[in-house]
Amino acid sequence: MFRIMKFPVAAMLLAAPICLAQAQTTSMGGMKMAPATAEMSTVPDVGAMAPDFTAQGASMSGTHEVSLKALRGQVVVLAFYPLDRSSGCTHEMEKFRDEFSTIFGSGTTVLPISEDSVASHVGWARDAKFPFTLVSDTKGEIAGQYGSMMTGRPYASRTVFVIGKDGKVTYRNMKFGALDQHAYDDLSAAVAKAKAE
Amino acid sequence: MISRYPSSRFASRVGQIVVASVLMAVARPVMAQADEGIAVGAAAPSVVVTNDTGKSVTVTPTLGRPMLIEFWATWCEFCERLEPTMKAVYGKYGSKVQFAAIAVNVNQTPRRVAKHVKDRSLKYPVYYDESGKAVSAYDVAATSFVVIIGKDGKVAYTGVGDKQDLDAAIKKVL
Repeated sequence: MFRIMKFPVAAMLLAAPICLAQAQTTSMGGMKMAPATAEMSTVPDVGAMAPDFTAQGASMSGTHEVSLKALRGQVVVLAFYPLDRSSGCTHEMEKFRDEFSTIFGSGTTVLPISEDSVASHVGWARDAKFPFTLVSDTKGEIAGQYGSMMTGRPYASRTVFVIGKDGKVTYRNMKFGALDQHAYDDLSAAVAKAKAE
Repeated sequence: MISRYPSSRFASRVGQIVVASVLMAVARPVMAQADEGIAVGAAAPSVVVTNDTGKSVTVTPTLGRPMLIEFWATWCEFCERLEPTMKAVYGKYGSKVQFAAIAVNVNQTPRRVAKHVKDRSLKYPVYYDESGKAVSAYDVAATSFVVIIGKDGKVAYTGVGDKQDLDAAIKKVL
């Protein structure tokens, strides 16, 4: 459902300084990868190895490090999106949450990724009770590796990648329609296929 | 009695609140910008949708006549709150402006949309984006997204939410 923010003003006032502090922490030690380059902006083809990354993730239970390589052997869904709590992203993430078993089924690791801070992710994950980990890509480096930066805007575009158990890309949608049921159906089919392989 | 907040600490706390307030004030417009949506100035595309009988129809801007398109859903609270505004501008400008309310294909059916139209006595043309191609063509990420197209066939206005001043936006394209 389309909802903008349900975030008490008091919480916002308290969270803002925390976000600043977290941003500083993340910029110093959150990401462990080379800066994004023009070469990194190419989109990984289906069948190619998915670029590895290690970054800070946030869930209802708090923060932890996420490494794509460490998830080898599982089907992983990377869902890039522009911004925490914005209208389209809220709709997409709430649909992922509400229909998790239908779209992804058990045993799938879903990793939504945006440039928001870990603090922002933790707050949103707790408020919305997301059953997945939100990855913080504050410099857009992961999005750059997956060709998922918005043109002319400092946000990730709305894209989806399914990564098979062998670490290879099995499906990608470079313009995921948050308001198109067919996009969710296609994603669900792609996940099921990757699990069967 | 000793104050719980010594003056320096109090001033510091007030400073933090002021800084935080400013941060939040500037953050909201950024959130709006992050949402996708066809760009103002872009040529408005024609889209194929289905009408209330399930027949495919093409919604296409007509040169020389402005057009308003709303992307909506029966479950969208903002759309519901925007509905009186939609009814008002349709009543006022329906003879001069082409209207199309396109229901998205997520979490609703054509039947539910038809019932909603009947229950709410919606008079403006309502369509269903069966294929999802209309949403894609206009890069719609949020329901209650309104596009107003000028006489030149280009997008003159986009907005989202229940507090849109559609009357003012329409006046600019007449």
